[in-house]
Amino acid sequence: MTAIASGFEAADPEPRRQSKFSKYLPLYGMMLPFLLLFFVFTVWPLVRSFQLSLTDYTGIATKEINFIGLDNYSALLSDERFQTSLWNIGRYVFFTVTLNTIIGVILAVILQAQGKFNQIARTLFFMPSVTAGLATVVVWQYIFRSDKYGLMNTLVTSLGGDIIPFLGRPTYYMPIFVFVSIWGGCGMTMIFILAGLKSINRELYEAAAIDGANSWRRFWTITLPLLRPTLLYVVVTGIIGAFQLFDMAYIISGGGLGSMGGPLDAGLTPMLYLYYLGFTRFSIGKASALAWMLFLIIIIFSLILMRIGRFTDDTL
Amino acid sequence: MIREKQNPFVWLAIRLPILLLALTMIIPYYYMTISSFKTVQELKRYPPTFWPQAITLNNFYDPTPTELEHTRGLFQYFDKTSLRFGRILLNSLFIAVVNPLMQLLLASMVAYVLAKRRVPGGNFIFLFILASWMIPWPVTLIPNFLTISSLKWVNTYAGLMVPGWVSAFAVFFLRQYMLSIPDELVDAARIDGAGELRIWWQVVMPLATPALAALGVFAVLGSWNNFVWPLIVAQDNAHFTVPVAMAQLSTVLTGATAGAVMLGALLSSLLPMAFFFRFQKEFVENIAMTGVKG
Amino acid sequence: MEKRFYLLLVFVLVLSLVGCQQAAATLTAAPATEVAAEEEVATEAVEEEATEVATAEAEAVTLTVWVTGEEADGGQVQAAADAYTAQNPNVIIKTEVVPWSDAHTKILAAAAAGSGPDVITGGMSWGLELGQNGGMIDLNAQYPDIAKDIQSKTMPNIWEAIVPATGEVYGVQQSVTVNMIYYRTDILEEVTGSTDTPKTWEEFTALLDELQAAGYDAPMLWRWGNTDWLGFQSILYQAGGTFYSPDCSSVTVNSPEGAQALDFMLSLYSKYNTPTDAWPDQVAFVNGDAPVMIDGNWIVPDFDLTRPEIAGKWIPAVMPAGPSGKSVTFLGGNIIGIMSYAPQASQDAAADFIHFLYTEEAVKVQAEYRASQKGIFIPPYDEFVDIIPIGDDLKAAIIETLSTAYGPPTCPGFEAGNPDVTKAIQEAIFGEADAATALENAQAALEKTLTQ
Repeated sequence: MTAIASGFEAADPEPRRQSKFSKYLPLYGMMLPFLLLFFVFTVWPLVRSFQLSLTDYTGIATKEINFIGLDNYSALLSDERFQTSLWNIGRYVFFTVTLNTIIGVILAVILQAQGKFNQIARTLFFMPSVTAGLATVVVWQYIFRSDKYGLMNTLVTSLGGDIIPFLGRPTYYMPIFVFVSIWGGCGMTMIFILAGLKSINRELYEAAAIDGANSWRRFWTITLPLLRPTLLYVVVTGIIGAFQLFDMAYIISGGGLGSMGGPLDAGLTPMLYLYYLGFTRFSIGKASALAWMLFLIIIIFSLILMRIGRFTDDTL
Repeated sequence: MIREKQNPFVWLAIRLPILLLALTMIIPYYYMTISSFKTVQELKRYPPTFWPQAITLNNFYDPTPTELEHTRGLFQYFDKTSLRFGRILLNSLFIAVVNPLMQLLLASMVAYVLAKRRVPGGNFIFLFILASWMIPWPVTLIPNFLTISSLKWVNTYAGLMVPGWVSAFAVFFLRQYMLSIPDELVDAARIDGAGELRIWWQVVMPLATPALAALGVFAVLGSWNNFVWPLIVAQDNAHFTVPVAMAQLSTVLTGATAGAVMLGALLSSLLPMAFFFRFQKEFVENIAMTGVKG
Repeated sequence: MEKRFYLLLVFVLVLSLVGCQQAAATLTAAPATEVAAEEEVATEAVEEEATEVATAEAEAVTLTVWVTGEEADGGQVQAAADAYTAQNPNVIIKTEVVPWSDAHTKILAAAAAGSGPDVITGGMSWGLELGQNGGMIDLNAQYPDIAKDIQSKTMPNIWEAIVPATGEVYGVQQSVTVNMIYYRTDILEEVTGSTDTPKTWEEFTALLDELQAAGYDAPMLWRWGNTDWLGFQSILYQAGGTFYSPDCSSVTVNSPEGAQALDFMLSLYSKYNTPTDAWPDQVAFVNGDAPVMIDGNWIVPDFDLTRPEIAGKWIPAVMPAGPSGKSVTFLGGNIIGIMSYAPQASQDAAADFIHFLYTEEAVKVQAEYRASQKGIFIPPYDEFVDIIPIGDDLKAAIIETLSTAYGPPTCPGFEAGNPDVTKAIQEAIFGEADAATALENAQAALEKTLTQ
């Protein structure tokens, strides 16, 4: 994460001062369009959403808004459904990010060499990362039907197994989410790792080979340590993204038709709950509080990871 | 890691599982493709057929939708807008072109200033933008919707698009890349009397093409797949995007057959796929060169 | 070159500035608007009687109607709208279809934005929800004559499901759907030797036992209401129980009747292996794996067309009666109501249009349109059912079902509490809790939201 880390440092410590302020004017002018939109659609909403999280705002313009302090936050903390959604997303984030990274590294290491086979395989693995949107979730939903007519169950029964009630049982929701996410994400991870591998100096391997290190050992002593910045990037962005899982949960967990989060809320994610609170239960205040709590959780996780990443960096 | 000579058995032992795994990656595409061309009767057959027995185009457009064993095709839904699903595809396409361009344009100007010119408060601005990268979109969803509605932008292209023009990630990504562009080039241009905009556009931007291209691919895919924002902003068929239309089609009560749904999924995958195959080389190579690698 | 870019910059700048200013303006103006809005309502109430008739006729009005459901639902309302416009050329009505899954969100978003449709149709509880939050107008307060006339043309059990004890009429029933039970008569005949359908719980379980003995391992498919409060409600009422006492003062789900109902529901899953997914595919019924199916009435007319292989081999029937001796089913459908942000002239025209929907002419054009789309339109009034173009047998079955159908309770907090009722039921279904605990949890959840 040296790239991100370097962003925190002053770009240049030299103390030279510009005498004319007018010199900066065009520069600020160039930044202004972005900064204005940035303010309107990122900074201001952040403030506004915090402001809303302290009220009982229902979303309907004509209704009175009352300031209720931290009530929304304390209500959420004791809200069983919110806890369920956190438990679900916690498991989802852990398994998705871990497996995604491991599979991405394995694929990248195996497929890094030039050649027709590798090139085609890389393309196949990467394809879902390009098209994995709502449309493919819809297809997966058909594939994981719990009756015998689903594609997966056709496969299971033709191999002699019993029908697996995939989307009919709470047990299978998170594994299916993780599976589909890895399907849609491991290719992208692989590409990042490939990029990281490319930047590793070949001579290091040659030197190690001369020293008699086998390829397994070279992987652990050279490849993995030098991949740390890339891995950290993949893991941090993976966590940020995974915490916000919505599209798949929205389609697969019932899409608002009677059930909110699938059987026993097994497919409920914090985002889906936020959507439910904000857009079907008229609790925009509570939904905003949920958004802020999610924000804090994500920040804490990211900071801890960056910290760990840098810490081990120093000790090496 | 480069193996000069290898036992063919080892070669196969590594390649075979990879090949099998790679093939499972395309099962959904295979499934949506064959389902798109199956008749209504064949779609409900058990066990499912692995190749359409009678290829039909009725899932696109069924000339006799009220006959026995017939139903409307994909292009017979969304009839509140003239081109129907075509209009929705065009909407998505339009947004997937304009939004990334605006994102790159706005972000690259900021990135240039932050990477190549020192302005008072520049570091603060950069930190601020960087920190905002971690704001999950749910936090801004509701306030942004309120802003859009007070601008009377609900159910307009402006409402669908403008909030997507700001990308903190793009600023960060481009700044990191621009840092690697030699200062001498910029200084030389300045000595030649070029203004800031000219330096940005004629010196820095061409050199930043790899980063712009890689970002562009992310941005195009992101815009194409964006779901929640258009879901709440678009109020009529004429402003729908593909994911919104797909969500609508796939709900059990619309009565759409698997054929139409799968065809929709196929069409909405084809465009990003074509785009990716066209720019695959640039994209994959450029990621390696950009700041992401650390 | 340079100039062009500065021009572009200025353009983007101005654009953003305008955006900022307006956003800031709305922020500061928000409290003021609220007060203004309240005042407006007050003055409107006074002026309303005078303007009601005059404005509707004076100027051309365009109404936007959001119809929740599928395209045919939209077409049906549009058919009625066209008939209305033929009589009132100054009112143009445009319908827009919003699918069930997104409709609630979109309507709430429109209410938050203060712009969008003038009229919406949607779930039976939505009128109450939106209305109590100020999003929809109370027809009873603003157009009492229309409300009264509509009440006289609505079946009392339906009226009860949309109008709370306090009497506000935020929406009136636009169309009705009921949950029904379907049997594969060919399979019934083969297994039991007769096509008689079960009339009571005992007969029903006896049939399921017989089917299971004949190799139908999971003889039943449950679509509408599967594993949730909606499905439980029918069974609860069949058992003679209720969610609330009639005056909504207490929660009554944890009762001997409730226990009986839940035990019966659980046996459908544990003993008869009913699939637990939300909306399982009908294919198991069509292929004969599950000869019994619970689903909405909407499948009746198009089933013979889309599933010709089983044409004539299945029948719709009323739900089996429980210990109470009553055959009760769930009644759903769409209400129609007026958004509170709509301008006065639009509200007047909308109220008149909604009133028009309760005429024979409107029912006829809607039913005809629906029939042309392989569908069926059930109006909320038995006399209207008489004029819809369907077979007499079906007509009788629908009228019988309608009179024994109940919508969701209108007691306060039911909308907020029912996800927890569903969760309690599911805990019992998936073996996470026993039936007694599940009922206690359901009771507690409803009690909590009742008092809030």
